[in-house]
Amino acid sequence: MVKQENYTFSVHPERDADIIEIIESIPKSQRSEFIRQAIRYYAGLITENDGDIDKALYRVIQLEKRLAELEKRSEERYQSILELIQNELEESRKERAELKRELSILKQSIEKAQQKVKEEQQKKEEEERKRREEATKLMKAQFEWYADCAKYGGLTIEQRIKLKKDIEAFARAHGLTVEEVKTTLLSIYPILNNYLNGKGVVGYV
Amino acid sequence: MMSRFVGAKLPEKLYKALQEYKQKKAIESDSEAIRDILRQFLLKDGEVIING
Repeated sequence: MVKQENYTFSVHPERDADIIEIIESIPKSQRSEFIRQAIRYYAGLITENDGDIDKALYRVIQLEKRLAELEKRSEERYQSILELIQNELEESRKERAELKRELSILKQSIEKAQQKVKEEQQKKEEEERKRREEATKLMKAQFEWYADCAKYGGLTIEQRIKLKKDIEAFARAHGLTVEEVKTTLLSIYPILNNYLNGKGVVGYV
Repeated sequence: MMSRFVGAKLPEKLYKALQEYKQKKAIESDSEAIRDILRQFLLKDGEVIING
């Protein structure tokens, strides 16, 4: 058996990065043999062809290593792109959900506001209806005497003047226009038509 | 940056060959000689063969 001695040689991480890469790519168990082959080759102890075989073997190791690295990089890239797409989709989903939520809140808010307006309108109309009913009731009582007078002999000039003033006062007191009071009054007492519209005045003077 | 060390078992015959290489190339240290041999061994048309 040939006696062998252990020898160590130094390499600089930066300056000898090419050698370090080569050494590290070779399985530990084959490193010594690889170095020995390199020395044999330059010492003329092996033929050029033998050296080429070693180089070819080394190249196989290198190419396999590079292929593995490329495959790993490709897989990482694929995962990275996949992640990117998933993130984009997730962002889009979140954005859509947020928009839907905002839209829903706005719609509810609008519906609520519309409902409130509607209720207020109904309330206003109801109040107006009651006010008119009340006014009509009061009108009926307050102007009954004029209707009776018109029915039984007609209104005197003084009564007509008083009727006009009473109508104006009633309108002021109930927040109505004179025309509104006249219209309502005529619907209750049509007999007052000639007096309210300025017709038939002559016959009663 | 600290240097790193690589170990290799060499029979006497190869160690002598290494020393001859050192003398021939006028290289001072064993380490430098082995580095030089490795570089040349893996060089092909001026390129390290791992780079194709």
